[in-house]
Order: sequence, then C-alpha cells, then structure tokens
Amino acid sequence: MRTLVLCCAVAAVAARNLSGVQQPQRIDDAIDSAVVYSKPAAQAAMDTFRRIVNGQNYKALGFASLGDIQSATPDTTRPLVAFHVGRDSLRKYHRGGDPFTLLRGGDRIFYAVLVKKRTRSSIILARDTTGWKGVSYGGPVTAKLYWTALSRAPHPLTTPPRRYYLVQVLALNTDFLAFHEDTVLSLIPVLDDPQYRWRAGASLLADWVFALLAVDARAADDLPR
Amino acid sequence: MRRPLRTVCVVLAGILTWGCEGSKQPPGAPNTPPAAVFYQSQGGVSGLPETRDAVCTPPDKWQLNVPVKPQETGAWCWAASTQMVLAGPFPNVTVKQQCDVPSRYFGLTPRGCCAPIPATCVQGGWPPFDKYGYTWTETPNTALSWAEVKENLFCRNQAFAFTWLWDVGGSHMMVGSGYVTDGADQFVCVNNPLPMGSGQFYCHSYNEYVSGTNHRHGKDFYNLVKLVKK
Repeated sequence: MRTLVLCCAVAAVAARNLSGVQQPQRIDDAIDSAVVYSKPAAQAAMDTFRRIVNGQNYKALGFASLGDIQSATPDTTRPLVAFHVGRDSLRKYHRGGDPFTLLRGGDRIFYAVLVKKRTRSSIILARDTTGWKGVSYGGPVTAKLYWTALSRAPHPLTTPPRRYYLVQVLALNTDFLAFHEDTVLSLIPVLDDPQYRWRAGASLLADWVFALLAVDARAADDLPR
Repeated sequence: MRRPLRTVCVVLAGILTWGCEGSKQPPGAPNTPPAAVFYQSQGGVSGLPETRDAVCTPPDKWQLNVPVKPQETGAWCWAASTQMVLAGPFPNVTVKQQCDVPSRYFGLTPRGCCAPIPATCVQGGWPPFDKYGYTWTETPNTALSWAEVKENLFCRNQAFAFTWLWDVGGSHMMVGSGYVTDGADQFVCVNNPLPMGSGQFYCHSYNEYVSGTNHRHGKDFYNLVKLVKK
C-alpha cells in the first residue's frame, strides 16, 4: 500500500514537473521531490558503479586506484537537479523577459561520488515512468567543476537553505549552477565563457545571460557541436 | 606487449570455438550476446592484422586505448570525435591538430581553420573520414545494437562516433571506446569531448546510449575501412 501511495506521489510530481514551464515554487518542489525520491536509487547506482569500474577504466572514471571504488560513496547531502534550456525558446528570448519560462526538465539528478570526502566522480540518475535509476557513471571533470562551484557559492543563512541546481543549455554546451531568490534567477558559470563574456564563479542575472545566449542560439543549427 | 597477448587470446578463442557456427548480427538485432563472428583482416600498415581474424567472440568487457581529446571550440565535438576515432588501435591515424579536421571538412586546407580560427570554421559538422582515406558505415538516426557495439569495439578494434539529438534542439557527438557487461546490465563507455579544454569519460547504460530523458539517438559512424586506391 505504501509503495502504491509513493508511486502515485512520484507520478503526480513527475507529471507536474514534466508539464513544461517552471516557476520558482515549482522548481523548489521539483528539487525537493527529486532529492527525496532519488536517494535510494543513488545508493543502488553506486553499487552498479562499483561493478563497472575495472582495471582498464578506473583512472578515466576519476579514481586514483582500483581500490578507491570500494570506499567510494555517493554524496547524498548535495545532489544537483538539472533543468535545461531549449534552443528554440532561447532564440526568442529578449532582455527583460522571464527567464524561468525557459527552464524545463527536473528529471535528471547528479550525485557526486566521494572518496575520502573528496569529489572524484559522479552518478547521473534519470526519472522515467518507473522512477529514478542510474543512467551514467563517471564524468570526473564536470563533477569537480559542479561541486567546486557549489562549495564556493554563497550560502546565506536562510530558512529553508538556498537551493542550488543545474541549468544546462545543451545546444550551446554551457552549464551553470543556479539559484533563485523570490522571482530573480541567478546563474553561476562553471567554466569561463570562450567568448570572454563571463568568468567561472561569477553570480550573474539569468536575464542578462539568456539575452546574450539567445544570439548564439539563433546562429546555432542542428549539426553536432 | 599488448598485441602479442591479444594475438594469443584470439588464437586461443579460435581454437576453443573451432567448429562453432558464427553469424554476424544484422543491424537493429535484439540485444542478445553475439555468437562467434567471422572476420577478415583489413590489413595494417605494418603488415600485421589490425582487426581480429577468424572467429571473434567479444568478452564481457573491453576498453580500447583511445585518449580523450577535448573539443577546441564550442562547435567542434565532431572534429574531436574524428580525431579520437582515427587515433584508435585501428586505423591508428594521428591527427596532430584538431583544426586539421574542420580545415579538410570546409575545404580550407592547408590549415585554413587553424589559429587564428576564423569564425566560419566554428560550426557543427560530421566526421570527414573520407578526407583521411577511410570509408565508413552510418546509421540512419539509430543506435548500434549491443552486438554491434561489442563487435565494433572488440572484433574490429575500432572506436565509433555517435550522436545525441537533444530534445530541446541541437546535437552533440561523442565516441564509444569501451563496454562493460554486468549480468543483464550493459554499459557503453564513452569519450566525451566536453567540457572544452579537458573532455572526460563516462560509462552510460546501453539504454541511455540509445535514448534518454533529454535526448534521442542520431547518426552513428562506424566500421571504418581503408579506401583502396585504383
């Protein structure tokens, strides 16, 4: 019975979050739901990760030794839920718009994989109709970028604590750590912009960033990049 | 050291499977482990076979030694992927500078896309393996079957390039360089040319490689064969 109730709750939240446009409260709800319901799957994914790692791939997956994977744990205290920005909607964005209307998703969550409390790698979980499950394992570079940015980001003493999440502009290969206060969405780049418009770690207004990226999105085609 | 060991393994596999009947999995076949696969050498520069001869039975896991190459502009995943596929054990072609790939693709040789990189070169594209003397097989926006993944990586000794089409527009190319089988679970290990400046390595579940919550599958480029000059 409890399983049934849980499944219904997850399905209801999933349906609401996948329905499209995100608003601040809905983002908060999506994050809280994802963090709670993905946690058991993160533990299961860690077991899977241990079985994937072998003598041929442990270094590329972020581990210093094959033994590291045995003591590795998912960091369940600071997962990052990912939202994405569509290229076509970004193309229509202009300064002064509502950046929240560009955010979609909330159905992927990144967990850092720690070895001796240091971020070494990551696990990505995705939610489908059956719940959360591990889909990708590794990505040591973005793992360090994301959680270094999170460590350096301001953490004001608010109740509830400020929620951080990922905003990915997939078509333009650009990732941000994000947070919002009331109705203001802010972005923290995890890498310097190749066009020198921003530096990693700076807190930027999403409205300003999206207006700049809209120009890039208009120039981008469907070819791989 | 590795090649003699592999040769011994292949010979042993051949002896052990002598008399077994093998067949090549058709494209899009269900994800059943392949039976033994018969192969013919494609011939290497040194005269030694670069791909496995005779019967080929892929093991449960395999990782090619293909170094991750980061893409050097925000639009050159396909150029970095070309560089990585060519750098694999077969065909083992070194492309020293990534800008050489877009230079050839856009017809701006020699070095027309090298520093300073013209804006016209910073665009998406497809791997121009023909410009390096190889033909290839291309999927019509579908993934390789699990059997084909293993066959390509182990039996052909080749990495392959694959494309994800983002549900929200745009696409990205990466390189399959290894695989892991864990019981019923299957994983494709991938060299991602992102992030710029480093690139990185992931193992995706086979289902995620095929499609995911934010992407569907685009074209795969595999089965490189040396062009024969007439």
